[in-house]
Amino acid sequence: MKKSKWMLGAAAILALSVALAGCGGGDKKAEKKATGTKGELMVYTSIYPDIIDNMCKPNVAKAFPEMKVNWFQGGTEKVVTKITGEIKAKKIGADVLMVADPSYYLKLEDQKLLLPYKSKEEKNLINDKAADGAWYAVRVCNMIIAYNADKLKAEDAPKNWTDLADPKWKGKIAMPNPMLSGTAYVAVGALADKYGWEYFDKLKANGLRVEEGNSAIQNKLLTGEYAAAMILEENILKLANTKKEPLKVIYPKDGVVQVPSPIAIFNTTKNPEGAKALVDWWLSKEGQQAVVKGWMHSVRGDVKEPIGSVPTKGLTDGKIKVDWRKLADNNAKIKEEFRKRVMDK
Amino acid sequence: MLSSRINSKTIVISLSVLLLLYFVIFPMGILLFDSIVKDGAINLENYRNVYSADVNWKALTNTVELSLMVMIASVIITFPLAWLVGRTDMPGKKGFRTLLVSSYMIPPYVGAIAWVQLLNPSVGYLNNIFKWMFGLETAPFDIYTFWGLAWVLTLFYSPFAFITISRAMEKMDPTLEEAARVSGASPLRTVLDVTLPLMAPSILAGGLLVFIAAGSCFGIPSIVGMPGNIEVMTTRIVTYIYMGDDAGIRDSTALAASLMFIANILLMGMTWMMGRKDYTTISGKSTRPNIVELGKWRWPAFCAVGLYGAIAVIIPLGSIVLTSFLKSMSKPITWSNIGIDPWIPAIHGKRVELRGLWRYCCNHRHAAEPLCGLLGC
Repeated sequence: MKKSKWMLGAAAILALSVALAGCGGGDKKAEKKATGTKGELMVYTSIYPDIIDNMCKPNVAKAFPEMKVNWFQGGTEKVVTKITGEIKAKKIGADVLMVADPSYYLKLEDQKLLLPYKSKEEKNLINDKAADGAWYAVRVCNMIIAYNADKLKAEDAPKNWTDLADPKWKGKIAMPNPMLSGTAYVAVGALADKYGWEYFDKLKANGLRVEEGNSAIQNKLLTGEYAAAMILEENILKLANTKKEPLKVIYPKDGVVQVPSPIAIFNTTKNPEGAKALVDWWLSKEGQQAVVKGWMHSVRGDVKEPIGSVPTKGLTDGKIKVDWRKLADNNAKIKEEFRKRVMDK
Repeated sequence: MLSSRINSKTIVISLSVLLLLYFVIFPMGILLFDSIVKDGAINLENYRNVYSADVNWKALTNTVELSLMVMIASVIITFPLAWLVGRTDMPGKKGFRTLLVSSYMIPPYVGAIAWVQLLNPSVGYLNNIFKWMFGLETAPFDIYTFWGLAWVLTLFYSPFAFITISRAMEKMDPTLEEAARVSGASPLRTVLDVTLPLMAPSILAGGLLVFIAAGSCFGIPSIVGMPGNIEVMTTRIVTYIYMGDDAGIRDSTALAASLMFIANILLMGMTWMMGRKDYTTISGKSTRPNIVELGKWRWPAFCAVGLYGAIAVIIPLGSIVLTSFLKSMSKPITWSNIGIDPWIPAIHGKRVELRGLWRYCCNHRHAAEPLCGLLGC
C-alpha cells in the first residue's frame, strides 16, 4: 500500500514538472505588447550589466515612467548569435539594439532588418550615422592601452600601439579575444589594416596573451601579472574613479581605435512609437549625459567627455581609420587570420 | 491492490521515458541530424570541412588526451581515498568525506580563477611562496600549460569518481575480504587481490564519469587554457557559435555532435562491460563491511588525506576568500588592505551579481546532473 502511494506521488511530481516545462514558454508568447510610450520595449545590449543597473534602467525609467523597458544583456558576440538564431526562426525578440560592433549594423542593413528613422536630435550629432537613419552612433568606446601606475612610471609606459612589440614588455602584455569581444574585433581589424598582420606576429613573438575579455585583463593589470594591455577605456575610467585603483589610460599617439556603437530599431518591432521615443531620448542631451556617466564618450557636440578622460573631439580627430564595410564582410576571415597568427601554438 | 501498484509504476516509468525523450534524446537527435544531413541528403561534408582545419583536430586530440589523463589521475587518487575514508579506522574520516566532496560544490569557473591566482608564472601567490622558500629566480609552476589544465580538471572532477567508488565500497560484500584475511593475506594484499578486482566496474564507471565531465567542461579550459593557447573541443565550439553566422553554427554543430558521439560510445561501452562480468556484490546479505585497522599507519594516512584536502579544497577556496576581502587587488596582502568593502555591494543584494553567481552554478552543474541521473548515481 505504502509503495503504491509513493509511486503515485512520484508520478504526480513528474507530470507537474512536464506541465510546468511546457507552460513556461507559452505565457511569454501570449503577452500582447501595447504600443507607444505606454507600451513595452525589449532592448538587446552589450553594455556592462552594472552600467545597465546603475545608469540605463533608472534614467530610462525616469524619462518614460509608463513604458516597460526590458533589457537583455550579453557580450556583443553572444547577442549577435542570439539574434542570428531569432532571424532564422523569423521571430526577432528585440525592438531596439545597442551592441558594440558597428559593422554588425551594416550587416543588418544589408538584410533590410532595420527601421529607418530620422531622429529629431540628428543636427546635434557629430559622429557616425546611417544616411537614412537606420542606425545612429549612440555611445563612443575607445580601445586604448592601460597600465598599472603603481608598478610602472608614466615615462616608461608604452606610447604607441607599436611600442607593445618592444622586447622590454615580453610576456607582460595582453589583449581581449576578438572572437568573443566586439570591440577587440574592431581593434584587430583596424590595427591589421594600419600595420599589417606582421604587427600581430611581432606581438605574438613578444609573448602577447589573449584573455577571454576586458574584465580578466583588468584584474591581471591590477595584480601586476600584465604590465600593459589593450583594453576598453571605460573599464579603466570606472575603476580609477569609483574604486580609486591605480590603473591609467594611455591614448596611443598613433590613434585610439574608436568604436562608435550604434542604436537601431528592428523593423519587426511591435512598438515603433516607443522605440523611436527611446532612440530620441538616448540621443538627447539627457540621454547622452547618462552615457557619459556610464564612462563612455558622447556623440553630441554639446556634451563633455567622462570624468578622467580627454576631450572626445581630439580622440575622434586622431583615431585610427576603420573600414567598417571590410569588417562587416570579412568577419570569419579576419578572426581566423588572427587565430592562426596569434593563438596557434 | 496488485493492479494499482502496477499502474502507478507504469505511469512513473512512461513519464520518465517521455521526459528523457523530450529533454535529452530529441535535442541530441536534432543536433546529430543537423550535422549529418545537408539539403536533404546524408552528407559528411560538414565534418570533413571542420576537421580539415588543424586547430580542430588538435582540439579533438587535446580533449581526448586531457580527459584520459584526468580520468586516470582521478581514479588513482580517489580509490585509496575512498578506501581510507570508507573502510578503515583513519581518524577524522567523516570530516574528510565532506571535505573531499565539497570541491564538487565549487563552481569550476571559480576554481579555475583561484588556481590562476595561485599558480600564474608572474605573480601567483603559491609561486611567490615557493620562490621565497627555495630562493628561486623564476616561478616553478606555470598554470597556463597542458599540465596546469589537467591539474585543475582533476581536482574539480575527481569527486565524481570519489562518490561512485565510495558508494560501491559501502555496498561491497565484506565476507570475501574476511575470507582473504582469514586465509592469512595482509591488509594490503587483500586490497590488491580482492577489493580492487571487486571494485573494478565502479572504478571504471567513476573514471568514465570523470572523463565525460572533463571533456565537456568549458569554464576551466577557457580560463586556464586560453592564455596558454590550448584549445579543446568546448572552446572551439563556443568560438564557432560566437561567429554569429550560419557557417559558424554548422561548424559548431559538427564539433558538438562529435563530442556527443564520443561520450555516448563511452557510456555504452561502460554499460556493456559492467553487464558482462559477474561481479557479485550482494547487498542486503551481510551488514556493514568490517573496518580495517591501520595500526601504525593511522596518522600518516590522516596527514596524507589532509594534505590532499588542503590542496584540493582549502587552498583554492582560501585564495578566493582572501581576494574577496582585499580592498584593492593592486596592493599586496597586508592588514591595511583587508576589509569588507568589496562585500558591501554584494551583500546589498545587487541582483546582477547574485543572478550571475546562480547562473554559473547552474550552468556548470549541467554536465553532471543529467549524467548522474542516467547512471543512477
